[in-house]
Amino acid sequence: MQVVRGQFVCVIGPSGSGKSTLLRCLNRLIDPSAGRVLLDGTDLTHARGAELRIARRRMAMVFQQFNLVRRSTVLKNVLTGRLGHQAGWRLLPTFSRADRELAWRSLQRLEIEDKALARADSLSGGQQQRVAIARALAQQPEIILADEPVASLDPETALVVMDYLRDLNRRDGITLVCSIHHLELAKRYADRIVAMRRGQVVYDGAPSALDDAAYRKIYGRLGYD
Amino acid sequence: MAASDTTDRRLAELMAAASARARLETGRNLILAVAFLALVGFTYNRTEFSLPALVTGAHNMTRILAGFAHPDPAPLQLVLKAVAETLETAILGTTIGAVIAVPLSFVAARNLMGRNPAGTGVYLLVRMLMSVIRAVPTLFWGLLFVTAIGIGPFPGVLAVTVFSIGLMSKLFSEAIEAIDWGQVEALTATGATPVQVVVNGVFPQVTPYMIAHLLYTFEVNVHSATILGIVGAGGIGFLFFQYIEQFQYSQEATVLIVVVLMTMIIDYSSAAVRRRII
Repeated sequence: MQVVRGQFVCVIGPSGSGKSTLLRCLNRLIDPSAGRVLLDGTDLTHARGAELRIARRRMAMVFQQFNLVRRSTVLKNVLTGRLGHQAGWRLLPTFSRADRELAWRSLQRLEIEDKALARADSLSGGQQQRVAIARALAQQPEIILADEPVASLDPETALVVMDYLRDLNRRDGITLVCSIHHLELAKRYADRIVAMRRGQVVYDGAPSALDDAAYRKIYGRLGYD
Repeated sequence: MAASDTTDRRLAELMAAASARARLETGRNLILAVAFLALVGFTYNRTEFSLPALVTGAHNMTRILAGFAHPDPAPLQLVLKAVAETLETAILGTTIGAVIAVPLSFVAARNLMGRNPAGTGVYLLVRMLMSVIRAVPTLFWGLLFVTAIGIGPFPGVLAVTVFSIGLMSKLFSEAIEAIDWGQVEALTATGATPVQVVVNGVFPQVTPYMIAHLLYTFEVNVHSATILGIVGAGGIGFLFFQYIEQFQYSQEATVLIVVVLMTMIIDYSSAAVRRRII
């Protein structure tokens, strides 16, 4: 499959169908067992060291369980988004004025700057995910890989978080690849839906074209009858 | 970024507050660092720390090292027998200690006991008792039991047992305090009694950690049992002490080689077991 710059792609499919694996293959948290990963035509399948780090900082990741450094402050968490831009030999993190400015702007963009000095684990789930997105944004990425970003959140908070992601997609032109369980959310936010089943892509097209026949192909049966 | 003047001003205020706090923290860390350095300097003076003394005394060490260069295999059989006794002491003492420490650790876990005043009382009492036991060195327990029973490995076993109870009940209860409470809630919701919940919901969660801590305690106990012979509580310690006293450095070398080999074998094999269970 190929993702075009600026697209908002939602990846759906049953549990265990390979959505998370697909996303993790893109930034090589997992090595693909077959196939290739290309970014702007550069083959990343076997990239290592600095090449891999530079590719990774171009595609930020957002996780289901937020994966903030729980004992650090919100601000420190967002500043870690800048690590990929620093020299790797720097053992102790020191951030430039520009880095700090960027971190604060990211927090402000996610409207969570009031919590900057709070410890990450003192925040609610929705707030933590906003901090995680601010961390991704501080990375100044071209792509955001969101792995089930709203699966641990209540429906209202889920909408708020998805709205932020869409805002980053529309206003900043950041490409989004987002795995998601909830079909209604996928239809509402995606430009394009990719469905997986047992590690294979079984649907790839517009949200509006995802009909009952396609649904049956993805989930094995029709859900609501 | 199209932010209005008021939001920009607010962000600037927040940033200023953050850097003020960062400065405060830096200042505090600096004071702590200076205080710690002062403490290190103080201990340096008090302990008469002096590298020159080590250099001028080096030629005394060469006498011992010369003996070590030629280990004497003659007492090997005697040494092996004494090392076996040390191992036996550690094995039996650790086992008895574990049998007693497992039930104690459940009463010493705050998350299980801290739910009513009576439980909290028991918890505090057991915790205090355990810390007293741990505070007394194994060598002193050995001395105490040798005085009561007489020379031999049995007082050594008792000494190891008592210390193990103190150490294991602490390690075990901390493992219990780190369990996932959701699994306990789920079993409580089935209508199970507290004992059933512990047996079916807590125990499976902590057994791997208990085994790992048991192995660690065994390693510590082998070290303690090695030295217990000095007070007459059996094992290799007696020979170790005797050879040093009689300046028999070649024989002492044999003792040390056997002890080091034994310890290495135990450390590596228990690490291998730990890797498999956790």
